[in-house]
Amino acid sequence: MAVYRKKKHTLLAYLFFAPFLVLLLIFRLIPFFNSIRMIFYKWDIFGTPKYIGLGNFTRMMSDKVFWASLWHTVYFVILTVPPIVVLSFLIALLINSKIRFKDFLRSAFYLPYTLTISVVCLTWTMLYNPYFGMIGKVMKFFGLKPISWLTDPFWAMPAIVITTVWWTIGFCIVLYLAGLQQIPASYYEAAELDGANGFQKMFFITIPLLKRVHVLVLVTQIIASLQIFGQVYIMTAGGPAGRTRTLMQYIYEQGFRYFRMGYAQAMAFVLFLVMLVFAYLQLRLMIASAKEELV
Amino acid sequence: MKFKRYLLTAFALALALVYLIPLIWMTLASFQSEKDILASKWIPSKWFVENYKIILQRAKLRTWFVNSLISATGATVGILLVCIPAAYAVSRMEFPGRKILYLLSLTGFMIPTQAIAIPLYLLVRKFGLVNNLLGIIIPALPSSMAVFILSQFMKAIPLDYEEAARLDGASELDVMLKVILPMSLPAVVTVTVLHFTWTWNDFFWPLIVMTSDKMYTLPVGLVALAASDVNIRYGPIMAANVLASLPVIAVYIFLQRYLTRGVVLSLR
Amino acid sequence: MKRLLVVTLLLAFGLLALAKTTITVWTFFSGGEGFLVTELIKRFNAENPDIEVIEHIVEWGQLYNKLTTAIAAGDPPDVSVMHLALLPDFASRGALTALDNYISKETLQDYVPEIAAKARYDGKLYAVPFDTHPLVLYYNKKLLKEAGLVDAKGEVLVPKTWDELLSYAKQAKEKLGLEVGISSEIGAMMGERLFIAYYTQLGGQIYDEKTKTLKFDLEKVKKTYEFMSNLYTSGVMKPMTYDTAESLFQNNQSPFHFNGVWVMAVYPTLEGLQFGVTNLPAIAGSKPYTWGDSHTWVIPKKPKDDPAKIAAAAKFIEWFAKNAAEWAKAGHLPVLKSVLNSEAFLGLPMRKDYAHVAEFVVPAPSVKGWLEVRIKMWEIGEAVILGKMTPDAAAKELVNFAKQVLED
Repeated sequence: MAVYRKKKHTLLAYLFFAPFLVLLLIFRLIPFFNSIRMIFYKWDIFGTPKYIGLGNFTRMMSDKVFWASLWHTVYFVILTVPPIVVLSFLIALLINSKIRFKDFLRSAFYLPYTLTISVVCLTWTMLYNPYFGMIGKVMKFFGLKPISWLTDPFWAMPAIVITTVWWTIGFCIVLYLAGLQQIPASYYEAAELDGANGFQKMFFITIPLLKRVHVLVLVTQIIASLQIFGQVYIMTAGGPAGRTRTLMQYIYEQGFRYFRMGYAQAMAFVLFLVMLVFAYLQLRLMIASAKEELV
Repeated sequence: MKFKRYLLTAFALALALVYLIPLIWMTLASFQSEKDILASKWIPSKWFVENYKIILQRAKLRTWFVNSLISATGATVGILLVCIPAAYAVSRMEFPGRKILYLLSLTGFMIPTQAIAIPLYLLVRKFGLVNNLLGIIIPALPSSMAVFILSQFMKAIPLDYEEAARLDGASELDVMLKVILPMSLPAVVTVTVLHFTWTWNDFFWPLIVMTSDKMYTLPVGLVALAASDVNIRYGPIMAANVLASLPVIAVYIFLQRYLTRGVVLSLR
Repeated sequence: MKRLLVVTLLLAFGLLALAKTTITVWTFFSGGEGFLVTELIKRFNAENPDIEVIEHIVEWGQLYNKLTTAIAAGDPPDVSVMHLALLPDFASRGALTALDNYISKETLQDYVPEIAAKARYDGKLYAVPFDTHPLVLYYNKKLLKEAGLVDAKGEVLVPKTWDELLSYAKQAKEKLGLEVGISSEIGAMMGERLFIAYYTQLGGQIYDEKTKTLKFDLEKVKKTYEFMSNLYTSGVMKPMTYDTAESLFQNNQSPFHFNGVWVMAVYPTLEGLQFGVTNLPAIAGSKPYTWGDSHTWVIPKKPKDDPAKIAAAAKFIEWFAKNAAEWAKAGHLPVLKSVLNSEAFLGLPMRKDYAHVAEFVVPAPSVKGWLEVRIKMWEIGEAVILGKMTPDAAAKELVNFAKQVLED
């Protein structure tokens, strides 16, 4: 009887898992193995692919635009992630302090994150306009010369960064708020009894205890930033003079505009390798925290 | 102490106000004539409702909205249908190969869709799902994140509940649907909110999969509109932005408590 | 008996419905242009009950990407719009249907000769052009009058040479305290369109007849970039997006403006804008050559030809070309001589001021790879304008890139 039940159980378990497994195979694993194969071929989507060994990689090595795009991606990550971590932490602290209208404040800072990327980028594009935009108007008010953000080779990337930080920060604030609420009040009370001041409480209790949130925010934001595409596509299309072209934008151009399928996929593979490190970290982190949960 | 509290509150409110200026401007600009916008006005000199009329007449906003809604809802519901049984199997059932399947289910984390965009696109094309909402929905279904969140939550539910039900003669399906699923509601909400938002906001994939303007989702449609129609610049575009945002903001206000809880859960 | 009649009628209608050939058409027209196309398609459908044309609007920046994948996958639309300049990129891959047997002799003979030649690739006809849209110069009459740029009769001075344009623009800018003397988009407008105009005026050629490939003259490319760079370092122009360039001109904040003729659908309708339109200035001793491209219809190649469908599609595109006077309301110049000389066209506002530009249009070279080279030109142009690349380095970069694309 027991054996029968167990058998049925196994079959049922496979049955439960099967739909997911089949879809995973078809839409993740098979394309993934196809992508590995593609990087050794030259193919313009018409005709048959031609095997060229490591040709796509040697091309990559000597392609200035590839290196520039890789650098722009890293540059974007460097400019975006630290302000997101610091600002969302500080704002979460502010909301979590003894003030009123907490709910309203949390919603206010979360609101931009609910908007779709297009709404955000189209609105900021107008704000950045050096002749009619509000940012220019405010700068003039303070006696500064308006910057032509999106057509300036230096300022275009910071402009995309500012928009991205503004858009995504709300999500991280909520993560930090959740973390802050999990710190028992008794820790602070004990510290106060020992005569700790505000800074000591911050550096010896709050920041260390939020370690997991810091790492989570850091890793998820790095992963998201490495894949940046929409903001660039909408606001600058990689310009001016290619100064904001990120890797994903370049992959898009090579793969879906010029149809160098193998070359684009080879670059996507490089992006995949970079992201793998962080995705692995994220997974480790999630499994570790899940284990802790079960103890 | 009380004074300090008021001061902090005032500061926080002021900061929030500054933070929301882009949204406030967007709303005000949607009521401005082109002249007002080009003169960098904050308050419209005359409340210009034309913008809304123009955008509703000219653009396929309603179609795009419905497309977004169908694809985001379809993907979310589909993910729940596919991932709940999978998560249940790996977390609550004992069978040979369980561990391997569990690890396999997490491989999706390692393979972001952008990294396999080209072969995935060719595959979707082969299935005839290009320019079709199913082309957005179906590839989204095998979500490692969903299986992970759900299975972690289900794993933590004590066996006693399940055994009580089994003694009453409940089948495996009964146990999953009537015992474990109701108890996993917070995880289900998290998965729902996360995936709905991701699909709703996704730009890259719909841009690639959709061909004609009748099939665009809202993000792609709005950008196409702003990029190509010279007669509806500025004011009408801001009106489109407002119209596109209102439903989401309304849903957010309605769901915010669950959402915060969901985010807290995904943090764990 | 009555019942029988009903059944027969139903059958007849059913057969009629069956006999109707549906033609899917991809366009990227929106706004004023979009309405005109939709209107024309409606008219065609009404006049031809046996054919139903169904329009799909694809985003401007996306159409060629989508069309390529659709053709490769074997399910393209029956008809698509295509810029004449990109014809070789598609025709060279065997992606288009040759139309020689489908378009009538009279129509082909009615074409402006240069355009008809460009519609061919390897001697075969692949496209049915229905307009040409050159780059022209717009000037703001109100601003120029305020700046005192008028002749003895009080008429606005229209620049004939680049030097004149620069000095007028500078004078108006300084006198009126404006941000710019000429407003223009930085990417395609300068890097491709103005580039081709000026380079051709210098006597440069992009196409080498002998080798039938792309070929730039390094020295002339460099001179062109020097000229472009000077427009910006002198302060007459500033880098800006397309939207901004149009808005500055429309709102009397820029005395001159580079743009295509397509804006003629909108500019004449704007209140408070008194403007003129004319050909680009010329280098002394040259004709005022300018960049121009054409919209055409093409019939993408399918895995299996359906002659009935191709015939129906060809009927539609020929009809459209013949009725292009209606389309010319969007500002474009017709390419059929009969339309160009028709009352319907010449009666449109200000067309007499720029119809002659058609004579000076320099179309893009008929080579594969132009799709990519031209976008690189936008980028290199931007780098020169923004001072990130010297004209010398930029010229070498462009020549090298063109070579690379051709070899690839």
